Amino acid sequence: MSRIVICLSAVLLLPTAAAAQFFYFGRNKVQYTAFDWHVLKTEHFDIYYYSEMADLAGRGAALAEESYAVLATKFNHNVANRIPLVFYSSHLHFQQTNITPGFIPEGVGGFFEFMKGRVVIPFNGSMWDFRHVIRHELVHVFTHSKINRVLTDHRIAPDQLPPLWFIEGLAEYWSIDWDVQADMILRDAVVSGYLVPLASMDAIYGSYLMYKEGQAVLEFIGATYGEEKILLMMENFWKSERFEDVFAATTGRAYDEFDREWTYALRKKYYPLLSASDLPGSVTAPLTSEGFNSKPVYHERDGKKEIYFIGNRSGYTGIFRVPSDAPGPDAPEAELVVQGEKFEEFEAFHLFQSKIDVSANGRLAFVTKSGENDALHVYDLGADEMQATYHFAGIVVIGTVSWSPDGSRLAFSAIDKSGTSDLYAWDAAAESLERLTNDAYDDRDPAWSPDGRTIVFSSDRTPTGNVGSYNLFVLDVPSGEVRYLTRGTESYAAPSWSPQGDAILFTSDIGGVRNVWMLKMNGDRPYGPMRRLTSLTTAAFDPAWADGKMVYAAFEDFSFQLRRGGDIRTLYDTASVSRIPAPGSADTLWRQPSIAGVDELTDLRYEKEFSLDVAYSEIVTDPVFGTYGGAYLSLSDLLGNEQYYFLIYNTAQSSEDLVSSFNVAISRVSLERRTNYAYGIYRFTGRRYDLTDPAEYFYEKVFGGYLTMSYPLSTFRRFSMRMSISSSEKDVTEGLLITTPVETIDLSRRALFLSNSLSYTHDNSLWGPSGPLDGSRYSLTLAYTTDVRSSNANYYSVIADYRRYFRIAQRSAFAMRFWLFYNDGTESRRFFMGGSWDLRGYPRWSIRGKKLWLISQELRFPLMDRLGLGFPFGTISLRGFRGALFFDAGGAWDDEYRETLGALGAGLRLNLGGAIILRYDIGKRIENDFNDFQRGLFYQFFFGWDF
Amino acid sequence: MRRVPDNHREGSDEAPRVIAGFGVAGVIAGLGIAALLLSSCSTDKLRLGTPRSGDSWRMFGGGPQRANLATVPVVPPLVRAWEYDAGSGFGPASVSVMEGTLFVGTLKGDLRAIDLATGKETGSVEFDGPVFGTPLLLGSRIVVGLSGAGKNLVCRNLRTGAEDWSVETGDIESSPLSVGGMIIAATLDGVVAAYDTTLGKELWAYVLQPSPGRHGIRSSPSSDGAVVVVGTDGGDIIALDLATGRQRWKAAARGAIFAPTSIGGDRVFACSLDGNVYAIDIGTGAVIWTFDTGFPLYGGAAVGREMIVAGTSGGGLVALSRSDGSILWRARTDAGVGSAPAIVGAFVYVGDLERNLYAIDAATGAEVWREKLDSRVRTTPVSADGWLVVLAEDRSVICFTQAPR
Repeated sequence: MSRIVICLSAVLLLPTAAAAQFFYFGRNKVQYTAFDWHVLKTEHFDIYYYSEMADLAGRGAALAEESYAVLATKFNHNVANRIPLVFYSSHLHFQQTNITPGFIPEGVGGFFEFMKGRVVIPFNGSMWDFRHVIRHELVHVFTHSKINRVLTDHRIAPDQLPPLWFIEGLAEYWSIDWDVQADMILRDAVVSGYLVPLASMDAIYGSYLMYKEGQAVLEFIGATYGEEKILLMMENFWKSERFEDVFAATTGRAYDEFDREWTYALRKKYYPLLSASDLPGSVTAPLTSEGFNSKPVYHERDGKKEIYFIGNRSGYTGIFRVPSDAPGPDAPEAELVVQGEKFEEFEAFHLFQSKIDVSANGRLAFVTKSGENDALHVYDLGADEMQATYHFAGIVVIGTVSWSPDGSRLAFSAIDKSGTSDLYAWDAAAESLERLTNDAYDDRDPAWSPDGRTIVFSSDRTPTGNVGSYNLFVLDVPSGEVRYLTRGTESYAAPSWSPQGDAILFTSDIGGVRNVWMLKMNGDRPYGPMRRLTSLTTAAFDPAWADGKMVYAAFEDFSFQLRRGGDIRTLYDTASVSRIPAPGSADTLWRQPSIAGVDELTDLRYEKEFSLDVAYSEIVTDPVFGTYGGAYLSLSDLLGNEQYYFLIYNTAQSSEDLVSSFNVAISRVSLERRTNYAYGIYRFTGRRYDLTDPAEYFYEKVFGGYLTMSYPLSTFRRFSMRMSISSSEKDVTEGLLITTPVETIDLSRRALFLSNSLSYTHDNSLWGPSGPLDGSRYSLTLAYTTDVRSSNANYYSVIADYRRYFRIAQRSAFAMRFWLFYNDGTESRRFFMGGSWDLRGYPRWSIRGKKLWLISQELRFPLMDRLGLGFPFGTISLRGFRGALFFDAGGAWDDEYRETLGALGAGLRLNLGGAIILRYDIGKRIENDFNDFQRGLFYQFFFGWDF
Repeated sequence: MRRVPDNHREGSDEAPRVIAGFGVAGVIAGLGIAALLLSSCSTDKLRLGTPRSGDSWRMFGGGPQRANLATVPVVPPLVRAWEYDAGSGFGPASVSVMEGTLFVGTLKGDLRAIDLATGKETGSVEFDGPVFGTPLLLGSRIVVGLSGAGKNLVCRNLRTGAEDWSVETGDIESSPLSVGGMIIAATLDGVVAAYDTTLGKELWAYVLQPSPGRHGIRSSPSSDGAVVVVGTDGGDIIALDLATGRQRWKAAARGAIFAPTSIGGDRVFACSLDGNVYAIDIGTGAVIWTFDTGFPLYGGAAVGREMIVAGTSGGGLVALSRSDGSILWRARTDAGVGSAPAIVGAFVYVGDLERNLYAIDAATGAEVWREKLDSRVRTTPVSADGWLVVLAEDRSVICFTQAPR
């Protein structure tokens, strides 16, 4: 979805066009794919899917019904209404959904939208993950329904829910057993000392740590007091508005009492692990230290031994390199190789999904989202330039890539539009794509052997694959035969061949902790036992060979960093933990049951049915505008693709005015296709003032229609256009002219305005807690407005806005902005500025003119990340204090340039919960055509993001 | 800090929310579309109706043994006789009936008296807290247990609605019991106490050993006239001497017991969240047999002459031989059953979460009749005077009668 909704709001609420000047930036949520939606009706669900993923939808339906039965028992409750369940066959498709207007980050596995009770879930190739997410989201559905039921039964307004730690903790607790990943997080939190007690859970609100701590809390309650206590917390929710009281009434423990028990139990559980295992930081050397880093691969270039990896240290994810043999205890400085997430070509890296690889001749293969789907890129490290980019028809998501030893082919895992995750081989010279596997199993992490004959990969094609087990398999490339390499009920992943082809490094969670293991190979056969090379308290991922040493990504202190381990062969020879790999044929498989539509009545094409999103009404008495009242409501279809907005209100001050004082606007917005559009009609009447000159009141009756379209070129760029025609009858309101000089008054006039505008907008900015820190934003708008009836108005507009952000340090930036707004012609509107958002130190919107320019420069830096204020009723955490030093200069004029104004000073910003930024500025104005500084200081307090 | 009930109501617990908004400028003076969904329902204290003669169901389960057994048949198919809007939801217990008047407590904290023949309200009184359990009828008085109130066991005069006595007991979310001239009540604090019916004076009290989160009692006590038997959140089944309150024996289940215990002959039957039905010797506390249903049991059992019948949260009924726990039959339901069934003549009546009310042949387990209601059924059907009364979750009291033949 592009910015049409925002534009529409401006149309509905702020008819004065110039007011929209602050709202035109933002990235685009692009509807690349035309989905052919169907509906599969099961006993409890309406499952929305597109035709290519019909088989997956049937399997998801079976999982959903299975989960429903389990949860109905756990909740002792059922959901009265049918549950709309929207499936996408990949995360990239999921990111296009219009069910939520916001952008969906890569880490979001699904969501429950409680206004219409919709559950939206992507498939990522793993049926086990699919089952987990379906059940997780259905726990939300049941929780919401159960809490509503409890409150309604007690005649309490059902407008509250338990705290998020409980909501998400429960969704995890009742959707998946306590697993290796959950244990990794809690082990690290306890051993590294950042476990947040229940009483302070607000400090990690919304984080993954909160999810897992919430799950751990409920696990502990279930084990200690009985699982029924969790149900009782919901049954007892009517008892108090403070969940802590509900918690205490149910468990007999206040938060602090509970914390003492719980944290002590965790310490008793995890501290002993340190006697037999180590934190990564205590036994290995760091290769990285900032951001999250993963997927290391070793390469020698011009005698330099380097590790290439994916990292997000700057906020943008990209490919970096560090020397593999850097001495010293500190991580070496990383060098950026490929800048990601600023340009369309590399729109998004998959930080934890897609391994990269470098060929012997120095060609780096990697994957990014690029347009509609993922693309495979080859970068020449010797020439330091992009060599090729490949898009594959039918392939949506690409995972790990691996070069064949001769550098002629690339093996990769990929998900097609049906959601099937298989292995492929791409021969660039022959432009040939070969599908190496073709089944319903999740095939990942291919690693091409140095002799070129085999590909080792990880897959759930194993008898316990339906409960999340992955084993390593060998694919014989010439014959296509697949055989077991490891055989176990645990999870084996990320195989990496030794350069000699005589051993494989991989990770396994044998014993409950993901460590690096090694298996010697004799050709394509295992040779001897596999041995554990690391003994970490937390976890290791993506091991790689680096000149005989081991490099891997390790989790520690809630961060993923690359670590350099010891000599691999020595570690193998001295390893004390081993296991026999038990290879063999891959003949024992599993199959996920499916619910298919049995006939046309249960499997239907999707038809738009509209239902209420929001209804809002008001009666307002205003000292200036009198009493008025009205209603606003919006409707949309289940997929959120089509939306209707209705606004009606009346401004009549007497019964005679009732009919003539109706204000009505009706709009339709379509977000279904890449080109978003909206159109509507409106009639507004009443007294109002012009934002560009608030001293002037007038009466206006305006009616007309508009059409606006937006075409996103990519996430970062778009063209948009707007056409409108409106009839305006304007009259000066008597009695309100006392302070208005006569010569500035618009006299009564009638006009039929035809207005057209065309805009180009770019935004790839990266945001910190108070505003952008990196990237750039710019927009150019050309507009022409004319009165086609009587030529009372006839003007053109040019609006240019350029903003650039230069990163100084991780959380500091220098920001600059340039505005040029230009209106010229008969009855051209004035622009305005002044105040905390633009030219600081001056009264808000006090500087007005038909032409306007502004330059702002600002240094943004962090002051304080968190401030906890303790009160008898609890602690309030304030997060995201940021500082600014600024300089502004600008001027506005109608016909003749008047003067240049300016300001400089310092400011404080405070982010209140991510939605509201409080701003406090102190400074001096530069006055008298930029000749004098203000006597004293100005102080401005306002809200809003930095430019 | 107890939540304060309001008059808000939504038609469905999954209904889309409607936001009522108000302008910020000037004086806020209006209501929006949301107001259309509001309903006003204030209850004044009124005199209760005049009882008529008829069949009685004076406490949960129909008597101190909590057998949920009615001998006067109500033969399906049934038709709806009337429906009454009680104004708010119900706890896990059922209605009580005496002399042609039906009494139902609500979670908003009021008690409604309804004429069984017509469905017309004949009176109502308000309390300081929700009524979870079945009102206990004692001649001209009625006793209710309350949660979240200062005085949790309240006795009122049926004629005047005036309070005869009230006692601070701790929160009660089970149904009080009348036996041997005493009232027995169990609390969330883990106390079982006996009270004099005339003045509410405490006669004895038994206190469970403190155990955080595990010592509450949600299970309604039962009695055979010699002992009081109660299940606990901690999974114990405890028998107390009715006269003294001293513990006679204690048996352990593997999971919490929320469901009322029932007594049939010399056996106590307890349904546990561990999924088991326990049959226990009432004299010794020895477990005679157990039966694992595979699903948590939130409701209790109906006890007939030869069998007991229980519903499971996983859906379905199971009928077991009282003597050895062997399966007599199973019956399917569309969804989980959260309450005890009722054996009414030759039929077993039960409701499920999928809004169905079923009549099952008590001899074979065959479904004989079903009716789709407007919302879930979480309470035990009650039979009196040839009527069958169920509470539906949308706050409806629904009365069925036999269809004309």
